[in-house]
Amino acid sequence: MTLEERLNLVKRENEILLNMGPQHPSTHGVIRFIVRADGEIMVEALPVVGYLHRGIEKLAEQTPYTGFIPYTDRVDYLAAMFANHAYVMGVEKLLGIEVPKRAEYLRVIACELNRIASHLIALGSMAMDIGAFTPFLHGIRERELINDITEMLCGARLTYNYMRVGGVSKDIDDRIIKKINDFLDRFLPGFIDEFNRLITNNEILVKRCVNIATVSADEAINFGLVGPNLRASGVKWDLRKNMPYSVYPELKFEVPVGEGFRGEVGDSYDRFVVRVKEMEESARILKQAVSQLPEGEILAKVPKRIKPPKGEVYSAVESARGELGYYIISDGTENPYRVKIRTGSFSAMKAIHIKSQGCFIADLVVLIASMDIVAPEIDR
Amino acid sequence: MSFTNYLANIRNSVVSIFEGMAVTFSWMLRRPHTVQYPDKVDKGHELIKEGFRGILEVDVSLCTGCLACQRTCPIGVILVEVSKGTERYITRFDIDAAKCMYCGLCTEACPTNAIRHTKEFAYSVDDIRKLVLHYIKEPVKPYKPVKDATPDNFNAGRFVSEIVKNREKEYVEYEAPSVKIPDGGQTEKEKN
Ligand code: SF4
Ligand code: SF4
Repeated sequence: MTLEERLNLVKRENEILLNMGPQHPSTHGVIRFIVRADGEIMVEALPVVGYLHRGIEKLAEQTPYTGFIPYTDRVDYLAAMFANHAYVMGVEKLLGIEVPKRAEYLRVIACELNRIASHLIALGSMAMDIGAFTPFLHGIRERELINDITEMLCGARLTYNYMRVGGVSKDIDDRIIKKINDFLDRFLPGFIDEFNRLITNNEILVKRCVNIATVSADEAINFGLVGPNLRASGVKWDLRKNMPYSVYPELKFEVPVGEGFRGEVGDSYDRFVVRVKEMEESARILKQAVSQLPEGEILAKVPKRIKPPKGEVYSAVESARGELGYYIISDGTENPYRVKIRTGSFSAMKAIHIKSQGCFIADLVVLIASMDIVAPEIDR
Repeated sequence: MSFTNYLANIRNSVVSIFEGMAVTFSWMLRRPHTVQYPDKVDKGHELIKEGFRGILEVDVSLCTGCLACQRTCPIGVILVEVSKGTERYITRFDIDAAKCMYCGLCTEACPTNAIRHTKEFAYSVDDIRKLVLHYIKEPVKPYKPVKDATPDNFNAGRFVSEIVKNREKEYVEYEAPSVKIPDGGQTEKEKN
């Protein structure tokens, strides 16, 4: 049945309104969906955002440049490193600071570790929403090892606050490098294979995700989807390759795209598999970055009081949820004049709204989970 | 869907389910990653890693009273009062542990490492006011920095443990030691 046919079946009088959220285990945070449904088929699922709005952008205007770095952790709590990275990159561009090589490598190491951790949660929770609880625990277990590493690296397990304007806050030592290598040894062939056997190739998951909420390449671009969601639709767009920043040009890695692994290109299953493949690539990047780590400073010479000249800058990184960008306007004082944050989850909400039309209610959970949205990133 | 397809589907499902089960069962025989907290943590298991950003403590004998930490903190957790007068005294050093987000910016700003993170993380209390940690009992003279001294962070946890241990006690209203300043120093409070 095509979408039009399904929608034509729905008569307005027969509609029921259903509230999903704000407190619902499958909405990945406090997001509310108003589901207009006729029987089992949704007319639409209207996202209502704003339950987690903390006004981070406004807070930036009253906080000095360095003091805002801890706030950026809260933009996306599952991938805080990227929010750190994009912000300090923006301020460095404003100041015109050159970051030491070693610091850039440490940033890449921290970010890629964080990407693996974030994808593990995304995949685990998607499986959990579908009904498989075990993969979530396997994901959490591996993530715990990454948390241990970041705890040694920067002192915190979730809100890292690792990056500084001009470098990073702490240097890496042999103990941590050994831990990272241990982790990679068990992760790359071992864990990924086990995870694939456990859930990715599981016929129930495949049947549940294949051909659900297919987003074509054109649609994905029009929705403004970024990151793994965009790449799952077959668009090869990765800021690490297309708008290179940091030391990514020196590292070799592939950009996995959706190929219709079991069904159409861009369905929920493609989004799942692309994330699995991205974790492999991240592990590969980590291996290279750890072995190539140069000696040197970890912090450039930065004035104690950061006062960038007047100007504006946009800096973006490829976060675990796609392009995460900061638009910073400086008026020459110690506080930014305006900071605007562009996140991937927000544009995914639009895609959820359109793609939910004509889906079954039960598939909404798959759709939300496969987009890997995180509530604080939507609302900021 | 043809009949062979139908059979292949059933075979796939059964095989993939048993593969998943095999993985799960193999983990029953492997060593678990979790520890029974808090009953079985002391068997050489490193619960908190070196460099963890836990509750803050201040070594007031090292504090220069420069207020750098207070100015750096983005959310105003730290309150330092230094008396003005012929001789300066630090008369108050409070840290609101309930408000602190352990970002570590203050410890980086401190020139002498007087303020630092400990590995302490369990300090729940029944009264939120108890979480305001007062590190100054008596007014102290600011520390005179020695040139080229390497900051020492090796005894982190010396001061905070005492405070954390006292958390079972009744809450008592804190009185800043404003009256006991030796030789004519003046607190901010008295001046106003
Ligand atoms: S750790 Fe951060 S929040 Fe806590 S007192 Fe220091 S600067 Fe303030
Ligand atoms: S703790 Fe450190 S930064 Fe804070 S006032 Fe004392 S010397 Fe200055």
